[in-house]
Amino acid sequence: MEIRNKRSFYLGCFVLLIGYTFYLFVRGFDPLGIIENPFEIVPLIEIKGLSKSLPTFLHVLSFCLISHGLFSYNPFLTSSFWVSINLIFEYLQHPSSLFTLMGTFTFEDVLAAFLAGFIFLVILKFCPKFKQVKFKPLSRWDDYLKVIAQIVISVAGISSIMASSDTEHFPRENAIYLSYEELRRPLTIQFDRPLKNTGKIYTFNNYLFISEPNQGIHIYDNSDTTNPISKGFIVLPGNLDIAIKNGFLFADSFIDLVIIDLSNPVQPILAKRIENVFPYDAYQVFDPEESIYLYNLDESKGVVIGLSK
Amino acid sequence: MYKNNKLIVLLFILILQGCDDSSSSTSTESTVGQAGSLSRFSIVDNYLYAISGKNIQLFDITTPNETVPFALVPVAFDIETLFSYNNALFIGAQNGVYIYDNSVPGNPKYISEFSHAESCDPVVISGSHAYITLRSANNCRLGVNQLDVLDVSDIYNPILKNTVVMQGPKGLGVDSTRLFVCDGIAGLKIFDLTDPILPNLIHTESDLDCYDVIANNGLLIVSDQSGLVQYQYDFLTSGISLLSSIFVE
Repeated sequence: MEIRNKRSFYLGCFVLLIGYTFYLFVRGFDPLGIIENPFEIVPLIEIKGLSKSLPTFLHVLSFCLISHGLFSYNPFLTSSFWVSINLIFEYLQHPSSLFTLMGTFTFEDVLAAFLAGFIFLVILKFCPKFKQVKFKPLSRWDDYLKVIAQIVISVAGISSIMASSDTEHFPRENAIYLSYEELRRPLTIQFDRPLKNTGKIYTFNNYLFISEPNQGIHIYDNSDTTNPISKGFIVLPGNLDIAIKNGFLFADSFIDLVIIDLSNPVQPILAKRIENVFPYDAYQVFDPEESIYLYNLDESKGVVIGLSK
Repeated sequence: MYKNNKLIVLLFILILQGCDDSSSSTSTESTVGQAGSLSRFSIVDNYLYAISGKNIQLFDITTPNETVPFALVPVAFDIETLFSYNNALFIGAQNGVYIYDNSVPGNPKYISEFSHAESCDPVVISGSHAYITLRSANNCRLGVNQLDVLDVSDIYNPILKNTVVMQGPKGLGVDSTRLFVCDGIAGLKIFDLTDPILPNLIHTESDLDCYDVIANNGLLIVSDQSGLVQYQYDFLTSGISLLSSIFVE
């Protein structure tokens, strides 16, 4: 069976490709499931505002064009069909619906669907090259093929919405931030703070240091290795590594390097803080084995220290 | 597939010489401390080297409380660890190891790279042999769990000598003829290195599920799931004796 309107079909495929690229580079996942974690290959591009409804828009537009290209039905019918499909799925994302699809119902998405349907009709109206071409079956098989093709495209369209329900693959999480001001507050030392999590270790003379990952550094007097004595805990958000020379402790604190004077180990003093010297890593505090996608990441708010529920 | 930077891909050497020649007991003052094998920081001379994204960020620490960023040396996007050994800098990355000449501290220069150890874990060196653990985890490409032994008598040309199968090795530490490897839930494994190419498993402390160790002068410090545990070891017997534990609460 031949493609009724090749122009429309290819444009539709192209728009679909744009949508796919959007998912790779902006949402950070592959709806086809081929690439496991695309956001690790290329950094995600942040976009704002209305462009969040772009997938819905592109989906309606691309499938209208594709099905018009293949079957050339009444354009209004085609447009209505695909807009409706998207509206149904949009509705399913609303908490009030019978069963919910993972996602967020937004009015912008509804608008985007209608807009795309409208633009499709506009294209057909004003571009003669996209006109409807009457279907002339060349044989009975053409009829059957057409039906099969319609079913296939419908299924493809519907399952692509489900595949792109990115919240299934990546629960959209909102970050909790520690403001830069909070991060750079004067050094605090806590006493009798229990060890909750073990990280990297470091020894210097008779002292033993252990990083509690992303929280701070425990200090122990290890002169008697059968009885190490806790000397305090340096609160240091975002800490992972330690190095010491001549009684000065160098430690990372998210994007900063701090230098702490330990000449009196029970009274650590911040000697210097070098700001913004390490790269901003929004996922630093999370277990690398977890799949997390931080939605609406805003670096200006501070460093990410957790997820809000 | 490349993994999130967070993952521990390390080629690293314990800074045995970071402790100067006073490698003996804790009564001697050291100018530089000792890190575990997973550290991303390394102090060489008056410089702090730190893995920072795709680069090594150098800091001039001649006057520590006036530390300033000194130079940024771009290496590769997947670097995870670094260690210095004999005027060379070994930078561990997911795809292999980059070797830099560090004879002029503060001015590392690229020499070569070898891509044998493609994985997530650190390296320690004893004498002229390097011991690398490779671990398969979500983020590690190779999907193998093993201990590799390399001959690094010519540091510009490391040669793989042996591979020992492991379960899920993480940090490790070496002191003369004793090699300590955290092998995930399989426990802490202790090898005898009388023949450096043929690590001989002499003891397993199976209750431990450790992250990293520091072994120096008979004192073994373990960062374990259960807490911070210390043992005594020697070079004549195969076992270790518990000194103290600080348990996680």
